[in-house]
Amino acid sequence: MPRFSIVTPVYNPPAKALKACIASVRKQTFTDWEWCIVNDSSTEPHVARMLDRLASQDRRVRVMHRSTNGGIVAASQEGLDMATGDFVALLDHDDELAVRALRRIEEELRTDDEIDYVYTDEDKIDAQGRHYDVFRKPQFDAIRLRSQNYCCHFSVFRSSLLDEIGGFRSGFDGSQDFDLILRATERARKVAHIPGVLYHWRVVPGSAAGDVHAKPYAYDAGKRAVEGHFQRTGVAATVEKLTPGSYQHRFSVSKQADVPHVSIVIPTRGNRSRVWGAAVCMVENAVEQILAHTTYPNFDIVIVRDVNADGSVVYPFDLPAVHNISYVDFYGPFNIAAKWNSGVLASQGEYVVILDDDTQIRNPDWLEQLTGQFQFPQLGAIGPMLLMEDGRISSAGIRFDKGVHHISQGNSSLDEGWMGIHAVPRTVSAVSGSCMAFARKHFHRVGGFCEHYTYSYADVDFCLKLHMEKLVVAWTPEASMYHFGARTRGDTMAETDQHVLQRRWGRFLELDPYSRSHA
Amino acid sequence: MSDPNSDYDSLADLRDASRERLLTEIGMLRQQQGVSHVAQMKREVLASRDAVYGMSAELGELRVKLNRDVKHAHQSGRELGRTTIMQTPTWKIGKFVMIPVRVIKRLLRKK
Repeated sequence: MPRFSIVTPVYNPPAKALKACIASVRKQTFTDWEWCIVNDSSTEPHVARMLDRLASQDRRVRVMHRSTNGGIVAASQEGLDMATGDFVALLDHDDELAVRALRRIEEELRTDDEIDYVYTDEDKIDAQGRHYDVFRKPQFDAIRLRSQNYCCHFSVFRSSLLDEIGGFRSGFDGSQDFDLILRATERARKVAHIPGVLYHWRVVPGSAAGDVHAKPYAYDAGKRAVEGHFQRTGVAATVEKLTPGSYQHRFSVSKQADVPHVSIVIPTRGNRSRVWGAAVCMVENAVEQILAHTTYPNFDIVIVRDVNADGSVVYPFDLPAVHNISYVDFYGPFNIAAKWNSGVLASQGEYVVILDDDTQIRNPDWLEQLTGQFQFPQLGAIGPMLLMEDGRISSAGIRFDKGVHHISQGNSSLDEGWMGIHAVPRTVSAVSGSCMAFARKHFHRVGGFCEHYTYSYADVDFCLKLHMEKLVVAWTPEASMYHFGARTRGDTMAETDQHVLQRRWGRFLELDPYSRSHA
Repeated sequence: MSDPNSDYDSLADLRDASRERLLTEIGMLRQQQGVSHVAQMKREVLASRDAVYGMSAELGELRVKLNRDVKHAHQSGRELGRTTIMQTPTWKIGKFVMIPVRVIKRLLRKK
């Protein structure tokens, strides 16, 4: 049975909040814990008095009074130095634990000896003690963690892992826990998430819980923590502050020689439609925009066109005669998966992007942002933000909830979404085949797109096969494009597609581990 | 008789040229057939791999359903067992005998 060391740096908490914090720890149903409290030279007299009384009442509590105020990093590190347990749990001086918090974590740790880091769901408590803002977190998402400390509370680390990484680092005040979580998860053998609200974050004036602007220095420290993560993992990206607590990372390329070759595969029938009132040939528009604006220096376009039995194109279209456009003739009856497979097999790129012809790129560096994420070896596929003609979100990834749904469809793209989900790259269960990038080697490994699907779900099936290979599927807002609707294949849906999906993956379609509460 | 404007000096040359052209065409056709054959084989390899993943996924699905059904069957079995016991004369007599105890308990709880 593991022993927990709860580490709490204390500096002038309100008496009522400290009392509630103490009560929540002492009420724990799991009793094998020690509490390492570091009083960081609090100036409020009630703090030392309350802590000393607590230490005299409970032998599991150890209090250290610092003679000078050293800040949260120094105090937290002293708490770590005091800890003797197998696992270290971080608790802030004015927050509360759920009664079964340590018990649930102990139960989880017993399921697997390799778990080195555990985090739980959390909510907030207001001044009247009311609970709100329940944050039901996703399964561990290393991609999202690079932009946002979504793990935050309640975090429990294996002590040996903290020894290995050297504990807290000075210079990261306010984001010291983010820096610690990033470094710990880089080395952790396994990370576990407990889907249950086991931590209550108290909102007091001046705390980051109530006002994200309260600690601007923490925001800067967070940026440095993310930059440090990229340096350690050997990923070339620039980090910028996005909104308090969220960080943007972008990829750029300089020379053609440095970048992998990307093939863009566009299946088309050559249909014409209206885009913002003007009649255009969809594929001509899509290709024209790509050629005119894409800054990525090393790409080619493979057009998979529908051809009649006599070899004539079904709906003729006219594309510029440039060296990096090639054609694949598709003779069979409509099957989007077969078209994608034909295009990918005829292409040469190390990375492939499948793209609907009824799309239009929005940012010139869209390929840099999509392919840049492949610097992380565990990435299987990635999709961009897809917008409707009117600017609302068409798809911010795909989630499962008793079926397949596009995340945030119809919502405003100007809104950053619940817990910033529209603003940061993150892991999703699947992305739309309207635009999806993947590595050629992964395409071959999982057998390409399943041609048992005629109109829909071949993209979802592909993503689920990648998950089976322990690869992750991601979505990024750093690349975005318009998707003018189901004009490539019409609105046709085949019932058989639904049956094939259910027969293969029904068990995954009930509940999405990456999209609990849409966050 | 040879044409002074022709590239070919004799009938033999003409024959050779036609043969060359034919051979080239045959070679190209063979190459095209080979390419399409390779492409077809690539498609088949992809389809086979997909079939393996598909079967593995379907097997997983069946396992989940089986586990669910076994669990359901156990639950139904327990329910049935309990109902059977509650219909026996022994249970009914026991329940009747325990009436005073239940009444006393209820009264005590009210107090």
